Amino acid sequence: MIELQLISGLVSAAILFLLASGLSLIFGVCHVLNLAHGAFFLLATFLAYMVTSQLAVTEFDFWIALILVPLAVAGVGAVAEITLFRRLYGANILLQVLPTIALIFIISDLVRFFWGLEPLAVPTPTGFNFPIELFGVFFPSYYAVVVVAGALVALLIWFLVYKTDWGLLIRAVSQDRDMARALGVKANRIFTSVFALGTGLAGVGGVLFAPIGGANLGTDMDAVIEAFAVVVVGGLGSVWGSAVAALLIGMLKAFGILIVPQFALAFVFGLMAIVLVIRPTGLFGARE
Amino acid sequence: MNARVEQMTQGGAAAASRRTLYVLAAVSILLLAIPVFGYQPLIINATDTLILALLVLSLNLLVGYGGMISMGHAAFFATGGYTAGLLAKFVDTPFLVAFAAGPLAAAILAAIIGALCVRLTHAYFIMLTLAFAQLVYTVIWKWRGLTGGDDGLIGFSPPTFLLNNTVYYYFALAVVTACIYALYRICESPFGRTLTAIRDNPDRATFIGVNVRAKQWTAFIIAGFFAGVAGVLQAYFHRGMFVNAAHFITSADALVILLLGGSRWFVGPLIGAVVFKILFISIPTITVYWPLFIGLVILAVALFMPDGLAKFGDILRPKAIVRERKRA
Amino acid sequence: MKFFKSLALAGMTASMIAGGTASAETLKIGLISAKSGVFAIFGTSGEKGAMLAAEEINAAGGVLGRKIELITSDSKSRPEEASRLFREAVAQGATVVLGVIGSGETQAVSTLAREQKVPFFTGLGYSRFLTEEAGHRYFLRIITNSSAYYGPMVERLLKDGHKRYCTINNDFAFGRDLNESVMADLKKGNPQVEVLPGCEFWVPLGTTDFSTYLTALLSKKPDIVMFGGLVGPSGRAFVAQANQFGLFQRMAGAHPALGWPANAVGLREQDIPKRTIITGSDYPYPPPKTEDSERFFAAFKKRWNEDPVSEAAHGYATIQFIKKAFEKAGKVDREAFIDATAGLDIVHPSLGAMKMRGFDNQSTAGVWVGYLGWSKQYNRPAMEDVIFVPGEKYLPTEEQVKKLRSK
Repeated sequence: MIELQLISGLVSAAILFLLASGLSLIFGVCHVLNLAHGAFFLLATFLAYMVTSQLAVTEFDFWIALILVPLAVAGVGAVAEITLFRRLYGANILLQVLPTIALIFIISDLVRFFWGLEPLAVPTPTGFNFPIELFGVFFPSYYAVVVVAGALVALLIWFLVYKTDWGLLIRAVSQDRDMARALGVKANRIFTSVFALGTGLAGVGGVLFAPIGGANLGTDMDAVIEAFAVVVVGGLGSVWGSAVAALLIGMLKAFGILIVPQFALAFVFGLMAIVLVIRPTGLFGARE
Repeated sequence: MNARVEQMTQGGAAAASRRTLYVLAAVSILLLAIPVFGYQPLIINATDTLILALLVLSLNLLVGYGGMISMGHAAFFATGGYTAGLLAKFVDTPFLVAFAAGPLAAAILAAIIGALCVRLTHAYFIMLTLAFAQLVYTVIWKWRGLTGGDDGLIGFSPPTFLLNNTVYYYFALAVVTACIYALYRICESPFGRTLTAIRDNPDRATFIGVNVRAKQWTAFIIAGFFAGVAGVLQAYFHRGMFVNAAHFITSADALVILLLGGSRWFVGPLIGAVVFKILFISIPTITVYWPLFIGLVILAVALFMPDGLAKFGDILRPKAIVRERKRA
Repeated sequence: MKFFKSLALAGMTASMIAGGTASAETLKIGLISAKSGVFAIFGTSGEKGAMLAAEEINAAGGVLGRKIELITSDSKSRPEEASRLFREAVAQGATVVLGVIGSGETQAVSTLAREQKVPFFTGLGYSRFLTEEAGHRYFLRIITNSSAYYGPMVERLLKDGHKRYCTINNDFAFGRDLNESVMADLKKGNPQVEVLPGCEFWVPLGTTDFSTYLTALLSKKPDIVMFGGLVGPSGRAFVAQANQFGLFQRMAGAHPALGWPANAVGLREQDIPKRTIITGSDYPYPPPKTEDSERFFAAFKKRWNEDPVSEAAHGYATIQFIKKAFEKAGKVDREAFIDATAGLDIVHPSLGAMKMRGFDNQSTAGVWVGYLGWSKQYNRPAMEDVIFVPGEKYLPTEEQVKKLRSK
């Protein structure tokens, strides 16, 4: 019983991590509360549908989608940053938050325009349709793909942020933007690339999620609210924090439904509020 | 030279206040005349706009004057309405008592939530207001026995004389006007000035001895109170209170209106509310993709008219004073 | 600044007056549909069904010599919008109003309908209390009362003898109503029926990730899982994921409304376990082979180039019912209209003949019951082994309604 919930909690955690890490990065570096993050996730699920079901060219469509869709979503994110957010960095915070709300409306309505109102199914990648037996229960093997992919992406981000020059610049800019600029760092390019990476991560999450949950309107609001809870608990700007918090909240949901099925979700907001009150910067966020 | 400038600006100031008076008179006449046409949709929409304007005006005390972006203001709006509705429905409370209880309950909730939120700044403040608002929403949704959950709270009405749309409109107009006046006095009072000083430079304010947290907390409570008034007006007008009044979307709508109208001017929310209502009513009659258009409008305003529409009101002020305001 | 405000108000007045003019001799029917927001998928099709009926009626001469003029609007799935639009429709001359809107919205409008004495039909509100405790003279329902919806399914489940239940539902009015009523009736029919402890799950609307719930269900090992309150994307996602976990090989499944085309849409053939999930529908695929049903299907498909769903059929039937009631009343008058509806019968495209009960304004609409399956012909989820169950015996009696309303 417990083992089963652990495993399914792990799957939730993987998706949550992909969502939250992108959001955390964008806030940590660009100081933008990207409320539209869920909309990018939503877009990715529908693009995954498009590649795997509408275009349906090869047997490896899913893997093609897993590469192309996050790139496309990252592209949209980069465009949004260049045309929109870059102009608003110095402005008051109302002017930074509202355009993200506007993006939610725009992206989700465009998705409705192109794909309609009905929920759409996205096929699992061929070769992963067989079930694995674990603890007396059959798990779809695809879930293993999700967990492994989540872990790989986490490693990739860690590598990028801590082991590359680009990562060094990101950390510099997020710690002290003005100083970094004074030292010659092209902050603009950093911002764009971080925005692209952040939304690209949401894109990966969306593609991985699509065979599980399908492509449905309304996913954007649910996704962003949960992502925020994770980011708050883990600490804005800390990828490591997102990972830990994603595990924590994934498990909270998985076990919460066993203990108090009625209020599992309220727990998540409650936790979010408690963390903000007691330790606003989260578990791993930088102390202000 | 100074005397000349002084003469000019004083003369200009007098002219400005005359112009303002004319505008106020014209608007008052127009507002009073709305039901004269007898056209029900106009009366109904005007009433809804008044309620919306009050809600956003209360939010602007926090956002525009206090520099605190609250994404959970809908919680107080809902609390005001639900409290009045619950009292009216289950306890058969007289109208005036329920009407007073709503804003009071909202103010109490604002005191609790505000005490926790004002300890934080910037993004953290925003997120905590969001988290609390979601909690309030969840409680209203889940406590079906009390609030009706997503079926809504129905089964109460305003007193008989208020059932007529026209009468209710004048009633709402009177209440909202009184609230506008009260908020105006608050915003222009020393308290209001302190609030803007905190907004502009919290460190300097602390340095000169202002208790920043206390002032912000007070603002939070006042804002919650007036949001509660709007909620009660809404509950009685619609003969019911529904859970989406506490939803994030309602808070977001209010912020959009602040952007449209401009948060730096007292009247910004009023203008924004009217414009938003017009957009919200007319665009859906043309297309089902109205969120897309509203989103584009928001982007356009954010990029090209970030101060909001109220900026155009500057033509009513003489140049010297305009320049003075901009520096401040 | 204030100048702007007055200008704007003037503009609003002008546009409203311009929009409100219409010719004198039409029969205006208000049509409020949720065309955006959570209920969009239902409202858009309901409107199409109603529009089709209005067009057909107008082509054949209209009602009492007048053409039907539908005053359409989008409630955006928001109750305050629905109530505002209702008032506007009435102000623009609507004699009766039809609403394909969610339960909160329906509630809001029902209150106003009673206050203003305007007949209001619901095209999407199935909750019992709408015609029971909260019912009144001006609220009418052609569609099924939810007790007639799950009644037949409960009988079927009792017959199959399941005892150990787990339930999982969306946490909203319809879901709670359904779960409460179904489990109560099951226990009444068989006292040994139990919901296993810790096995009553509530998920938010729109949830599509059920992995943690599925593992929990598999651990509990019930005889059957009742998931009737999972609607829209949740219902679809649950079935698809459950199938991947092989859930329905280990337990049976019951969902009174998965046969609704709008609930099962998005499921693929491989997602549906064969002859395992007991379900119901008010518009099953393949559509019933009656003359009315086939005529409606063909006309709808031709007009809108899409397959009709339940709400389209309901909108269609309601407009036809309205026509019949006005003709029986002989005049365009609201009170005469209401009086004429009592005992009036109508033929619904998929539910066949039904009668409107005068004492609670609820129709005797029934439901189709069978297994969830697949239709190769229409290439969409369908029902197999269907039988039609008339609704009358599941509805409350006149005395019961009187008692409920007197509280």
